[in-house]
Amino acid sequence: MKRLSVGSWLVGIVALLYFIVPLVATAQFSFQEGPGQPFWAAYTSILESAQFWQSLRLSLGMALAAVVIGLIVVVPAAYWAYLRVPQLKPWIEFVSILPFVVPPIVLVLGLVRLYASGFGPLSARVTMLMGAYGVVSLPYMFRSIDTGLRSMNVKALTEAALGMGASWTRIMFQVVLPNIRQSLLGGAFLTFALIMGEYAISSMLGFNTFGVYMLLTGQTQAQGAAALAIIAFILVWFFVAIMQWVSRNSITTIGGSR
Amino acid sequence: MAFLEIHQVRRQFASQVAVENISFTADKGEFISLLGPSGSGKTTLLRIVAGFERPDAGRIVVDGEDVTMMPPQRRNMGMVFQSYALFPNMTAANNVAFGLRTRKVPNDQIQARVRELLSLVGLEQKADRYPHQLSGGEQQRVALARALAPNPRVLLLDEPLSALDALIRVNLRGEIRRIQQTLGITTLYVTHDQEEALAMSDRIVVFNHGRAEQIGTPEEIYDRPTSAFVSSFVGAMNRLTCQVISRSAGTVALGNHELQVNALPNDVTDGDRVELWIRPERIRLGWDPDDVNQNHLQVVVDQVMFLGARLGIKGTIVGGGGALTLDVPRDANDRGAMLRPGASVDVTFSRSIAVTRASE
Repeated sequence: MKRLSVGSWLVGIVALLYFIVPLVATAQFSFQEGPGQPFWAAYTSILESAQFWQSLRLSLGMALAAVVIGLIVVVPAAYWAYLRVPQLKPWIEFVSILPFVVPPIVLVLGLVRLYASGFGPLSARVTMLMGAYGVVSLPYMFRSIDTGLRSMNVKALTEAALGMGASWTRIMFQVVLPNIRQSLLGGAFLTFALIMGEYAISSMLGFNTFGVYMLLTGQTQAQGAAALAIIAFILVWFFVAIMQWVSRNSITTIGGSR
Repeated sequence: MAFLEIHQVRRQFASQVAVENISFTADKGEFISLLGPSGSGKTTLLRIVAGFERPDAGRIVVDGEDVTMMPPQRRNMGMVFQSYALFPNMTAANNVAFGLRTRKVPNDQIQARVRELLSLVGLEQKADRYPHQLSGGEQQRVALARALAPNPRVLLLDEPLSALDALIRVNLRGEIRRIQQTLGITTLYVTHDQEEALAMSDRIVVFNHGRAEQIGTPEEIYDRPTSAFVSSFVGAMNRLTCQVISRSAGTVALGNHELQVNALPNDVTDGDRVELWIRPERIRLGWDPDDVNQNHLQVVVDQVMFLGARLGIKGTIVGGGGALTLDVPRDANDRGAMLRPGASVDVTFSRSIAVTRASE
């Protein structure tokens, strides 16, 4: 095995410290309670708060919705672009990075102005939040799926399956999705982490999501905010692990090929 | 009645005509190669037959059924791709079984058919391997087995050997032909390799700029090419530009030489320019002055290329007439031919050679 140079070790250690030290410091601070209080007091206060669970449920639901929207909208669109209109790929890439360019306040104002009334269920604030999250997660979802599709010969595999009489549904579930599984997971993880920490859009639409709750907690309880940050960190990894486990046991079953 | 009929098929991409009014038929069990350089339209025609492209005009008929507008899923044709196109997430066995599963064949029949096909291509021991665990040749065998598994009406192969090493290519082409003959399946085979087409086919369609330049058996294509393109694309060809001295006597002038030919084109007259087409292997070393049926030239050797069993000689005709390529047995030097750069050698060729009007 190739030995790493001293420089590589040094860079690795510095990078590790850069990420670990704030985390350790935050964890340590979260345990510094006043006299007469147990060291886990900040955690019990957070976990006993009804607002915490409410905001967590809302953010989890929204993150899941954003992932599902991404899968339903981005996968077929990117696949179709690769298969039928490859000349449109640069335009789709351009559209996919627009959420980076448009500030959240502009996005929310646009959504509110357009959908505030007269669009039935689309005019509901929760639908607007869901839609906004679907849009902001677009770059992460598209980039990941694009990488996956780029690594497989979409056209030849599709034509091979078509030639053997496969339906489009069979092609999608047995050929395309299993072969871009890693990319799908990557996109889903990024989207999930993004939505769990999102603040600007939800606060402007008046929702008390996990991100908003974290900020409000930070304004009133210093140790509580640190405890919440650690809880959020653990929660995101926990849910990402669950997603990975679920996808490993589902897509391959759908494919029925391994 | 022909099993596969291709009638006046035309396909245009923007301003470029990819396939221009191609027509030919294939009998049941016939192996037809579509041979031509890159961009000549052979793959486009194959894709039209497979249903992946729609023709702008023309018809595709299989076993009496017009399939021109039929989607590829319903055509029942087996396709083998240049890039193999095996499903990376499936084992060799599951790749072969794919087409049978889409047709909802009972599982026990699928297992039996997969075993039969993998055995036919010599891969029964590697049924559980994934594509990335197989060599290029093995992947292409699996692709062939997969294409054959659902008993397709027509087998379509799109340059299936071009990504493989030379030795594997030669072995596999023999195997493809053996399997095709065993199953008696009508086959269209796209290739740009003339040797492959000559070795495998019952008939060859030579493509150039979207048109079928010539359709014929390998012998017809090689021995009696009907166009300058076919003559130079299929095998090597010396094309010597001469001037007709006497049409009635069958004499032409090549530099300072007077040559005899058996047949001149009907539309040439004395003084017209013509081209003699001579295969390098048809030119013999040595000269017998008493043999009046042979034309004689003297050639100064420029280059000798060792080709294994043969020697390739490039030389210049003494007395004008241009360059000449010879393909002689490797032991020609042992028999006193003195083939080395700068040497002058006598060569002869028959009067029975193809002559065509020279292009302006």
